[in-house]
Amino acid sequence: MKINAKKWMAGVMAGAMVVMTLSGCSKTAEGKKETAMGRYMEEEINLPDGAGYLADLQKKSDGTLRLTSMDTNSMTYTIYSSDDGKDWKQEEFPMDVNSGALQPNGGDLYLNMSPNGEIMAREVCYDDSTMAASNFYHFIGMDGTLTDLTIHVPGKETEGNEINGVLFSKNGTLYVTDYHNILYKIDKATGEIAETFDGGGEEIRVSAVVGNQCILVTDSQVLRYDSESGEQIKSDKVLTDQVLQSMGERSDSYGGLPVISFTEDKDGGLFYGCSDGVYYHADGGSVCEQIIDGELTSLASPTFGISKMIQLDDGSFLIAGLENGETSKLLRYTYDAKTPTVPDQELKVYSLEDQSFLRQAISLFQKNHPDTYINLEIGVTGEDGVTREDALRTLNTDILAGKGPDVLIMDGMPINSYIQKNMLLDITNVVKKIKKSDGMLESVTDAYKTDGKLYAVPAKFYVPMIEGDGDTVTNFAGNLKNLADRVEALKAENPQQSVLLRMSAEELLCELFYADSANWVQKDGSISEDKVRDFLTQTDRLYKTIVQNDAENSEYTSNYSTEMSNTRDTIARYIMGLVTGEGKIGIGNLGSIMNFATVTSAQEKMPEAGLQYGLLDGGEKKSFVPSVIVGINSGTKQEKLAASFVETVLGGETGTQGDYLLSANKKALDTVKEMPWGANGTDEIGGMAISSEDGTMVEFLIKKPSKEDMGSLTSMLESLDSPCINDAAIVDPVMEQGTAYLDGEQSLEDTVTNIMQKINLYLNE
Amino acid sequence: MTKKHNRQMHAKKYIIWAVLFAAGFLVCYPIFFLVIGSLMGQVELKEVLGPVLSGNGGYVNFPFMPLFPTLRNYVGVLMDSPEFFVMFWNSVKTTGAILLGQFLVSVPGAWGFARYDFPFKRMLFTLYILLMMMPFQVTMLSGYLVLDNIGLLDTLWAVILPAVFSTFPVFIMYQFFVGIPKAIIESARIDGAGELQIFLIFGLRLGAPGILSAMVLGFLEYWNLIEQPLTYLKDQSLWPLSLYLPNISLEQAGTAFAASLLTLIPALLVFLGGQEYLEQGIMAAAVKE
Amino acid sequence: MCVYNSNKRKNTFHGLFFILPSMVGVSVFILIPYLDVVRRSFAGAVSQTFTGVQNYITVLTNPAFRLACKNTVRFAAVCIPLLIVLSLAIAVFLQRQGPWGQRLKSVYLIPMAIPAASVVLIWKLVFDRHGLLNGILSGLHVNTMDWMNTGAAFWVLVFSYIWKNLGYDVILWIAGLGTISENIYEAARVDGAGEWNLFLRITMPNLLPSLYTISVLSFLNSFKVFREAYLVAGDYPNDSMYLLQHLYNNWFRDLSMDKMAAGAVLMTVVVSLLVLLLEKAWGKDIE
Repeated sequence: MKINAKKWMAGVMAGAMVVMTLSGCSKTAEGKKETAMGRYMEEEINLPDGAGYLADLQKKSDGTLRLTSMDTNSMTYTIYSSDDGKDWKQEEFPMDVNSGALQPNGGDLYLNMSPNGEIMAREVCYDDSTMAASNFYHFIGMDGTLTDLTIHVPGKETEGNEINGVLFSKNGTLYVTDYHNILYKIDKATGEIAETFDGGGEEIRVSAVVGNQCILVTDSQVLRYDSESGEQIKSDKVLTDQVLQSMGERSDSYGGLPVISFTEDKDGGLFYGCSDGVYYHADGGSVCEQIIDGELTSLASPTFGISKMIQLDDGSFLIAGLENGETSKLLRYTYDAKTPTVPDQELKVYSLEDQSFLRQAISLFQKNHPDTYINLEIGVTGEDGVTREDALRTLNTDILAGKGPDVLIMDGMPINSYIQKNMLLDITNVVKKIKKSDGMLESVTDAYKTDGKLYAVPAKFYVPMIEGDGDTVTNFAGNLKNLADRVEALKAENPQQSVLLRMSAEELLCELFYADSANWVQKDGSISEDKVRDFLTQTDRLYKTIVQNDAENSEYTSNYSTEMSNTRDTIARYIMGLVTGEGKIGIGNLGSIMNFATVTSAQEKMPEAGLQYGLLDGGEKKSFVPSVIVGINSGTKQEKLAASFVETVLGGETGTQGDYLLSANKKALDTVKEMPWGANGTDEIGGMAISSEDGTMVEFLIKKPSKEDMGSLTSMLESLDSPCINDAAIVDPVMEQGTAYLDGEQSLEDTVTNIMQKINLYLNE
Repeated sequence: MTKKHNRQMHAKKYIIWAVLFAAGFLVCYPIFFLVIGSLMGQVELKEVLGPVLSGNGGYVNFPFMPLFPTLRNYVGVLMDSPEFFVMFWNSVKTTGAILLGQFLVSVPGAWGFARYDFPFKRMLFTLYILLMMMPFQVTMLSGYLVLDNIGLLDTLWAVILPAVFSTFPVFIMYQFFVGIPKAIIESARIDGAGELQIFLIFGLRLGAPGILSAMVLGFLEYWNLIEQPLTYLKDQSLWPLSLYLPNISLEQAGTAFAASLLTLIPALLVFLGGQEYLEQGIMAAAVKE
Repeated sequence: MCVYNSNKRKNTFHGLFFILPSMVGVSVFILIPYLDVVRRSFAGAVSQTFTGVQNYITVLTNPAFRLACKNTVRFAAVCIPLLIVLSLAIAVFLQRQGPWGQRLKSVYLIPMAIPAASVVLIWKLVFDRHGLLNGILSGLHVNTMDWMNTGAAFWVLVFSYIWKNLGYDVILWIAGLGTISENIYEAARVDGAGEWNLFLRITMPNLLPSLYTISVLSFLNSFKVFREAYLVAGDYPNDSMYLLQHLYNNWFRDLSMDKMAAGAVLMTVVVSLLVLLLEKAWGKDIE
């Protein structure tokens, strides 16, 4: 019996040991993988002279390439051809397409060419009052003869459905797509619909004609049809799964292009490109293989969208796309057998929240450092049960165990504790270097200066702003009490109308907190109770002037703490209200020059209102909200690499993309000031129609701010002096308790007591 | 016994039952929220939860029946999120391995402490109790370093092994093993039974109530582990079901309700099943005596 | 003498043999991390240099630590006796109700199985300013109150602790009751003892070891109420429910490992004294 017992125990122990060794082994085996070589390298190709918006990129029947460019101002077209995708020569159209001959009805012209040179011209006329489109079609054959076609898509009369895209198959068969992305095969001679490819009842997200296939992507399927016979090709689960995974929830990219683009190879295999990269699926193959990792190229940039992709004869790829929704780009991907497949260096970047800007910066960095892979880790995705606290705890454990990320984006993190505990490297030199080359807004970069050194530096920031009548902005925006006096007085003049735009208690608190909180901190680091009380009092006065409308508020889910930081850029929303006449004064946070354009455009739109804009300040201090606060973990083993990433984040180039976020980098501001904003050098960014209070539509054009306005923005930003309080342990109780006070659920004294109790608890720890 | 006395006894019995049921109902009341809530559509949930989650005045008034019952929330969890099943199996694997491990390690451990004398036994046992006292956040970093050294981080073992060697079950079962009368064991020894035989026959049988309560309680605990997997598992494909539930916002409330119930069901089944065994264990123990 | 010695050695050998696997694992996965925490309590937060008892002095003079200690003691003092008495009452009654009692017992376990995120949502629904409870109160024309932001928060916490742990203790009590032989009761009944008498004379003394186990476990479970508490009320809840766990959590967030370790060691010292005391009082069988 005793021997048995020993055996039994020994068995258990042995089992445990085996398990432990096994799991240990598998780990080390993984680490010793041999470096695989070969990667597609990205190269940007200069567009041929005179080329503007790239309307099309295709392979002609003779195997050469054709690029169709459109000047968005004059709506005139140019075509170029090339053998290798590098050198482009201008070509002549078979007829003069820009003469107006194709626009007999005076509409806008859209051109598509078939691989063998036929032209389908779509003339779009807009009804002045309803803005509904009606199309006319002119078809030019290879011999140059022009035929007018009438194409009638279902739903044209009933719901205003129209054709919005023209496609040609490899053999020159003509297809069109409508507003629902339904694909129609068209008889070139008569304009009759020869065949309809719909999603089988499901909504179509993307439709395409590739080689001799028609491809429709719906929410659950990738449907393929033979373009000649119209027969459905057997559905392919491997392809479907990968395509749907790559597309995720999105159907459109930043510039409104389809999120995915297909092309074919010689053997009937299919390539597709998206922000994930480029994938290949052999016809009937069992895998859908990623051949270009988007993360390592500019494909992953959130502001880039693919418009067209083709594979060249040498196996490389040419991708045309839109950066920022405005600027066309031509990228070439060439296989380089000498570059490791996966970059040999990895830099870990950690951020609690996902930010589009960060991905932009990473894409930029990776393009310039092909040997480095940036591994971005997001702490709180909102898709699982992980709270901010959980994420921070895990991050701290990693950092203390020496396995932390190299670079930290510290929005929402206890920055001061990290600095005190020596968790961060001094990056003064990096900042100095940029300051020398680009110039930096010192008050912003120095927001977290400790003992004369910089450990955490905000790359971007927000400023509290006000737009309203000149008197209010110049004389009353300096502190909250004055503002409240003024707004109450204006309200008394006209009790029926809101002075401030409608906002919830939480929204108002949030906007004013950023303007005022810099004044709360006392010399010893504690928070002034009087200042908190005064803040609540004035906010409450302002809140009482707002006519609340419960029915509309219920739609709005307010949850301050889960809000992503990029939705803090709120000013534009309130400016819209000024334009529609919903209110007289707009206050909010300005985070990007794009939204500054809204502010100045409103001025221009309503000259009678005499609108002015300025900083909104709670008191003596001119405050700003630091954002994208970057720092380097002092435990990093790649100090240099981390520093160069920080340089990219703080650098000038990142401020000139996307919405032109307000950068601490001065050169970025200047570049945005000088550069044309629209394609082909226009300064108009777009317009929108907003329905006003009384139900009429107000058209609101948004233009790039004038030189003077840009100048006054710069001087406003240069006048900033202190960061607002950005510590969740202080912000959260103010928001939560303040909301209860504003909504009349607790007295001012109770509110102040509760807030101070929580803040002091925090400061006492 | 007089009739009057009898009637009194009955009345007393009914009152006790009523009280027990009332308490039971109160305890289970929240389940009712989950069930009703999981059958509600998005619009109705918004209306019901609105006062709390979006602060638009009024009070929460939870109806007894959904106005328009729908199974969409369940479809959403079961059909549209394949990760639910991955996480479910991770939970099953983790919990199963932990309980099996505890059975193999802690039962003999508790038996050793309860039935044998050896030097420093008292000190050692007090140390075991002490080790239960540390809240997880306190030992988290140190635990992480140890697991990192052994190379277990980012494997399920990082969650399983520390739990297997938790001193909780030893502490619970110890009490039951100590309670077994010495006489029974001595007589068995005199009959020539070996130590292991005594443990297997008398320990396991007579200690069954203790072992099973430790297992049932352990199951509930490990089925809902949050901090450990979160800290020790970077690879999200290893995460257990307890991390599936998003932080509940108004938009996801329906899904969250449905997912909660789906998480709850296996736990319910297991401890309802566990109860049967527990009962049998107690009976067996009683019969022996 | 010789026989006794060999018996003793054999006993030692068998005992160690049974606890060895447990001891090895405990040492690696629990004792080593624990000792590391003790070491950290004498060292700087990040520098790890020896700082003597400095951390202990910092912690003991820290007002947040004192508040948290006070609250934790108050919390334990209120809810543990309450939970123990309630669960014992339920267990004793359920025990006597036959199979239906056994089934009803499972009901009390349900709260333990509900995932934390849902528990939090439920608490919010009930105790929010606009919650169910205030809805009922206002329906009855009783003054409503802000449960989570006043001293009432403490009682909400007590309630949620009892709600969650009632089943845990009931299970342990019933298991404990199951070990008391029915023969003893029979004998006493023959002697003409009443139900109450039986409970006092037989049940209570026999349950003393269980009482010891259950008290200790209830105490430990009082730490686990934290996740819900913090999900409902945040890192800085009302003064009355700011527990040591909140403080540890916040210290960890701010990387104050030194303070956290010292605070935790102090806590274990106090708790172990308490446990030893309980053991002296109720756990006589242990030796």
